[in-house]
Amino acid sequence: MIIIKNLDITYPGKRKVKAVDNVSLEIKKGEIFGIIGLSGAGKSSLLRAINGLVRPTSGEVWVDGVEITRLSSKELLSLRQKIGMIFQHFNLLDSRTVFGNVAFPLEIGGYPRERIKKRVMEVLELVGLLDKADSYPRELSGGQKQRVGIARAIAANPKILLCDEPTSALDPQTTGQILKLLAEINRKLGITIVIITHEMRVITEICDRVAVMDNGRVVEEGVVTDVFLNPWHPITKEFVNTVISKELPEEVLLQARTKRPDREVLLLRFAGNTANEPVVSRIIKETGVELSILYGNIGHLKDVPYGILAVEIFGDENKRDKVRQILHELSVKLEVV
Amino acid sequence: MEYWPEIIKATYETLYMTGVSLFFAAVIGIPVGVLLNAVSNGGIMPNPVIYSILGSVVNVLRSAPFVILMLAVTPLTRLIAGTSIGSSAAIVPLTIGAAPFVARLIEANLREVDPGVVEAARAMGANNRQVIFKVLLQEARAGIILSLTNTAIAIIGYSAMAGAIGGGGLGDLGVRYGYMRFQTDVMLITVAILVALVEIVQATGNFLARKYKTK
Ligand SMILES: Nc1ncnc2c1ncn2[C@@H]1O[C@H](COP(=O)(O)OP(=O)(O)OP(=O)(O)O)[C@@H](O)[C@H]1O
Ligand SMILES: [Mg+2]
Repeated sequence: MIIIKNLDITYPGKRKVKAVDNVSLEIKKGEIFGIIGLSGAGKSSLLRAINGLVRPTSGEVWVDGVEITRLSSKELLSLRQKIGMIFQHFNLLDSRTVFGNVAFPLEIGGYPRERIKKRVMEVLELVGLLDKADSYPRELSGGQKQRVGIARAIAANPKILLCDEPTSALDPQTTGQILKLLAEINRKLGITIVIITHEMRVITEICDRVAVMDNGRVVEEGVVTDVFLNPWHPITKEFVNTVISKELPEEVLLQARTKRPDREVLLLRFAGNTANEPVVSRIIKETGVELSILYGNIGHLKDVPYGILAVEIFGDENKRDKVRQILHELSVKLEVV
Repeated sequence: MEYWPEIIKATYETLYMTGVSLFFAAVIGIPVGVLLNAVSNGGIMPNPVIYSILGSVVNVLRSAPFVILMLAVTPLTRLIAGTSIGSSAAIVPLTIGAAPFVARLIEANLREVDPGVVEAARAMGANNRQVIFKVLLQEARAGIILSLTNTAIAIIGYSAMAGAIGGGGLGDLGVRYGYMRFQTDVMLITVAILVALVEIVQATGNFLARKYKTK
């Protein structure tokens, strides 16, 4: 759907800023792709290269089979009508009602009046704001404004929705609601969503794949469960730590460090079906070890359950080898602490 | 008092000069203001060369004292109004004086529009014309109304100088009777009418600005 090849974006000026540095990415049709990074990492610049709001210095951007950096400005305008975009600060037209805002892209697209009316009502219903059609943005809450932003972005039936930190200005509860709405739009309408953020929760709750940006570069990329359970870049680790602390509590570490031949502390990480299986009871039954859970963290990554457990296993070398074997069978990743 | 017919005539002349000059100043000044904003740094089509040329022209016209401007444009006045004296003739210099004023005010009004909103419109595929008419002018409408209100009040003030070229009007009447003939009552009445006019214009402008407010 979207292919980015060796993309460079350098802003001119006295102090040249290389905002995007040799980035290559492939975003698949129908997925929710997250790009996470700290402020100034180059996320917004990268996102704006996808709809041509920023012209790259070099590299290629393919959208649905078209290399957009070679389009004329007129062709670019019609391409943009097929790509929706939402923003951190909503960017609604204060001079227009909710209806008028959602109608805007349809007016640009030259739709006839009757069809505009019908379509606006359709999308307002989808985002749950039918009763606010005649309100002005100043009369809405942040969450409602973002719903209008989403309705406006999908009104012209785009194939792609670009989201520039859509929840960064919202409280945690409203963030959850907006994320749910985005996931629903992705599922129901099949729109490919690219979402940039500095909040890890946005990635863990709705994204299928993620790219981590630092200093203009993509430093880590992959399926969310993999990146989340096995981050290797320090920046990624920091982001993961904002949602779950994998740092074991001090007492656990202390206990683990006092080595004894009949005992060891293991850190288990698993995602997907394994998380639903009675791993612990199976280990105990089949190997006869004794086991105590020192620390645990379980949750969901989008729809995939995951777990992180620190367990202390008492038993001889032989039994403990067997434990490892079972865990390996269940494709649980483990580390000896 | 035997002066009422003259006072009424002068009031009419002031309204005529102000109304027509405001109209033409807006017709010229708004597009120039839009252009200034568009080619400015951060506008929708930045062009430093056009910006500095246009900006200089506007500045020169704006800094010329009105009395001098009025006399300097006499040939042009004769060309446009067919005469170089009278209320209609005064409209030419009043317009030329007010248009650059309007242009700068409009440029500033448009600069107040949130760049994020313009970006959103461009992301939806809006072209420059659509950005100007559907976004910039709409979003800035309350500010534009207040700018035109201020311009109208400034024109009322400047029109008092129109007496110098026989333009008539309340200012001229006040000067002729109050200053030259010591008819204080006529002068006070003309001043009172001018104050009332300014108040009415300001109140109307405020009302409209509130009605079309966006934030
Ligand atoms: N129009 C511009 N002109 C010059 N420099 C720019 C411009 N836009 C962005 N930059 C610079 O490029 C770098 C990357 O900016 P960008 O906005 O892409 O980062 P970001 O990851 O979106 O950050 P944030 O989280 O703060 O939005 C920054 O150093 C920024 O100062
Ligand atoms: Mg940004």
